[in-house]
Amino acid sequence: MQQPLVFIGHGLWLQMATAIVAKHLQPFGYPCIAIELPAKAKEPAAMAGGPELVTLCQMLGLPLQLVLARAQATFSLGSQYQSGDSSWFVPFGHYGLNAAAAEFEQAILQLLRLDANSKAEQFCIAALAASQGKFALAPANRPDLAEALSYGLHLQTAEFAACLKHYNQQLGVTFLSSQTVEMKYSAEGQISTLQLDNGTALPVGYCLDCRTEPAADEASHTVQLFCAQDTTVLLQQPHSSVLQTSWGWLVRLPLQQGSHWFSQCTDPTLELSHFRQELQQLTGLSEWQHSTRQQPTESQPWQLNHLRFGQAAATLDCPLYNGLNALQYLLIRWLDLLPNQSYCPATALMYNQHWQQFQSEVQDFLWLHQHPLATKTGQAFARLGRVLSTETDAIKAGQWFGLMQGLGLKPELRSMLLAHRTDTEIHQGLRQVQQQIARLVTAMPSQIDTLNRCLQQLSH
Amino acid sequence: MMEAKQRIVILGGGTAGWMTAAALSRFLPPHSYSIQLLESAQIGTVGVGEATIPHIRQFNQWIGLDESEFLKATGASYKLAIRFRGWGQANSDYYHPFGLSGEDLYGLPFHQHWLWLQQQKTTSLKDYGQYSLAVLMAQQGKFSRPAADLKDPSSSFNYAYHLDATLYAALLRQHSIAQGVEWLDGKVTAVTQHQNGDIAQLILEDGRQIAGDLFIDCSGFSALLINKTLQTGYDNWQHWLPCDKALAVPSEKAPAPPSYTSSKAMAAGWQWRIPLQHRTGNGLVYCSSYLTDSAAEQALMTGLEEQALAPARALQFVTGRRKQSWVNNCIAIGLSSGFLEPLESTSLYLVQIAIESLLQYFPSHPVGDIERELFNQKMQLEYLRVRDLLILHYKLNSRPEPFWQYCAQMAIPDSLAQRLEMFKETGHALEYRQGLFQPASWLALYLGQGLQPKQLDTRLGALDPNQLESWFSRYQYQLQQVVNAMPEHHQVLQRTELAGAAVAPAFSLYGHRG
Ligand SMILES: Cc1cc2nc3c(=O)[nH]c(=O)nc-3n(C[C@H](O)[C@H](O)[C@H](O)COP(=O)(O)OP(=O)(O)OC[C@H]3O[C@@H](n4cnc5c(N)ncnc54)[C@H](O)[C@@H]3O)c2cc1C
Repeated sequence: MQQPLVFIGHGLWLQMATAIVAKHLQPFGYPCIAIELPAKAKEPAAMAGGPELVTLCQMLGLPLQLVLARAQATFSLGSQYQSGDSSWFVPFGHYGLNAAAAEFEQAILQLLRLDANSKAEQFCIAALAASQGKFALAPANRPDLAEALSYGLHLQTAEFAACLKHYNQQLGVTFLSSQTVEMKYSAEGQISTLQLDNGTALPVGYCLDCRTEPAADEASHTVQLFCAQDTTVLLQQPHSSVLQTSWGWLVRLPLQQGSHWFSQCTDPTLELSHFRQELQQLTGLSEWQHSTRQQPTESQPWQLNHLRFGQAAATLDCPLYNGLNALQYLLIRWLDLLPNQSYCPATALMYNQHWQQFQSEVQDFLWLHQHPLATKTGQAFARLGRVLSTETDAIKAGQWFGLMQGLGLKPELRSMLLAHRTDTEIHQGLRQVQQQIARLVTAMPSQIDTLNRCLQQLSH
Repeated sequence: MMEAKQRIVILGGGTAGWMTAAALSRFLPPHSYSIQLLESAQIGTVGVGEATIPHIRQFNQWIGLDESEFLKATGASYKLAIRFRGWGQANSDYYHPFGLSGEDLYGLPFHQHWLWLQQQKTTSLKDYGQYSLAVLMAQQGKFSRPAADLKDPSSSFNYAYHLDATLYAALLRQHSIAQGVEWLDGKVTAVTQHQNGDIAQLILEDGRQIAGDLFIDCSGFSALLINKTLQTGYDNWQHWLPCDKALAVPSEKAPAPPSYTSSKAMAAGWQWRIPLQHRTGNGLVYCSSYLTDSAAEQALMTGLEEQALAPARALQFVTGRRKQSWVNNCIAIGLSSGFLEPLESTSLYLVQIAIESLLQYFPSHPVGDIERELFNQKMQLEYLRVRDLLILHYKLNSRPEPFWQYCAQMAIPDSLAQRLEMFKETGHALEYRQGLFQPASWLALYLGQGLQPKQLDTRLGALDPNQLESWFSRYQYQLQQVVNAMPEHHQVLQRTELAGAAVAPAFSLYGHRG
């Protein structure tokens, strides 16, 4: 008999962690117990997940149609950014039609250098489709398009959590609830039992801790959060929207029946009235909910048999990056390694190092939004137009490229791997791709049609 | 006004120099760049470096070299693996293939199942290598090109070449000259620098002066520009890789050249055998603190499988890496930038990666810090990751000789110690995104050299060993059927004109699935 895996936390994060692990490990005889604790802060009403969320639903065997219906979900091909007069698209998919096409992005940069009227979006099927309100699932016989049209979802958090809870119950996960949970440790420092408020003491193999709040004595910083709900239906926008504000960024996630706005600020000196005024100017909405939360700083999520995944993922959670993606990464990576339930210090060390890598790549991406040239990544792009190699898939290559060129970084040097081609040859090659992309997008259905078709399939 | 051409000077005409010249002349437009390659016939080249890994195929394609032309011109044979004999234990014999072994099953890696069946004392279980197509092909002298279709079992391997280094350099020279490279013969005796330290000119023995804007130091072990002139330090790794000398000797061709490189562990080092179409390359890499030069020569010569064609040539080296490969306006590529012994045939790969990175981060004049830094970081990462796998070969052994005992006891870098410890704890090998060797290689070594994890994945306990055993038998049988249908390696070599039809090479050691 395997030792039990005990999950603690609340809401979507708890359900997601339980679903991923239980799906993988229940068949191997691991008992899974989820302890629902009260939430210290309300979960945001809506969330945006990247392509990894879609992969996850496939892995769990959750039909997309069901998620769309239950969680009022819409599709997301990426994010449409707006900063002053300039706007650009940051896709999940890649530019061009062939992911492995050598130097394609460099060719785009070369064109942009010579022709101020050209835009990178013309060479990105996701961006073009998003701008026209189009969305289609790539046909099974076009795996190449599946990558270019990688998509995520916008969904209602509570409804998706309910859907996953039902799923977990069907898998045979035991659910308990408690107001508090107390950890009892063995002499070696491992969690031996979890004590609930009704006195139950649960033995623990691994404790998968999905709580997001830092403990009182742990390092954290305060962030201010603003959110609002908007009844405007934006089904012609299969993407998130990101607007620049004087303090950072404002994100809008469209759902089937309205949309949700989110923004956050880490500067404690800013006046609340100032926020509200600017938010109203930008959105026309006056009803903004404000809250503060403590953002943890967790770089060692695997400690003996205590897996502090919630806190670790929460270090990255913000309107521009959903911590749920990080949580998913932490879980999948751990499942890849989970070998036995005894103490594995070297494995935990390597795992934590990998996590730090993931964390720093996401932080780099977020930091780019504020100070593009203060990051190594931004400097390398501004000099050479290159996206640095990464050790994880935290941020997709198309996202790095889309963001940096959108932020206005113009590489000083041109690609020498294209130097043997004339500008005319490069233009011709790009134009061909552009025409192919335009033809494909013309033939694509609108997001509304695709959504309707998916929802009808479910009702049948 | 016409802008002056940027002048690129490559010092050195060994494999590194000519690979660089061929690639730069392929991409840099002649109206903006002039490329000169200077070498010294008097000094000559190191003349070894004949076993490669699959990435060389992509390099050849990249610079526009046709495979049939290449095979004919360099007397190359195909290579599917390296066979390691005597590594770990005196009687061990395993292959490190350019391919994967087995397939993931029930969401768990293949090797976990294999180890588990081994623990269950499953009688029909074969050696780990027997579940690798590349190993079966190498052992049975078969060859066929890999497939790109991931459903095809032949997409699970890749291939490289054994080549004649001198002929390869000559072929690259011919290509480079046709692409506009100016070839000069002369010996550099002095170097002048600008005030900022940048190299300005190379002064030759005969008084000629070669000025340039960017200098590529391919001067081999002498590291004339990067070290003698710019005094970039060197990280010495001899305490981890203690061999410091080599002897190389050609012998007659093998009647049916095998499609693998041989590496046989000896009392204080190891012996290589590289079969080409027209001759065989042999050599001994050894540690001079544990073996005299004369004993080394005797061991090499008596270990030859064919008649020697020349006396053995002695080489000396310090394993390690230049602290920076790119300093000022000088980029070191090849032996001038570091040396890792040829145990995994990685040197030409490192040359290739340096050239590709140089083109990716190609500087303007003057050179910027960013491209220099990115290039140096990339090269450091590649060297360190290759280094660790090489050290593992030495560390994991229970041989009785004093040299091997030293290796078994020696301290190892933290990066390797962690990986090793993790495998012992869990039987898992972690992949990395950048760098050459992925879990398939680490596992070939761990298992080939007899390392057993303390515990396996506990999920295995829920499986039915009989069912698993039949799956293993069926899988192995199917692989064997695929190999049976393949032609003999030496027959394929005689039909090199078909080579051009090969599918595009995968940029992975393990083929399209890798
Ligand atoms: C024992 C041994 C075995 C090896 N086996 C393999 C293997 O199997 N696979 C593999 O990938 N690699 C192997 N290598 C490494 C491989 O040989 C080298 O990476 C490769 O040959 C490149 O060498 P190079 O061009 O940097 O240097 P060299 O071949 O030494 O070339 C140096 C050039 O610089 C010129 N030069 C030097 N000084 C001057 C001067 N003052 N003036 C003018 N010109 C000058 C020389 O004339 C020569 O042309 C091996 C190396 C050794 C030592």
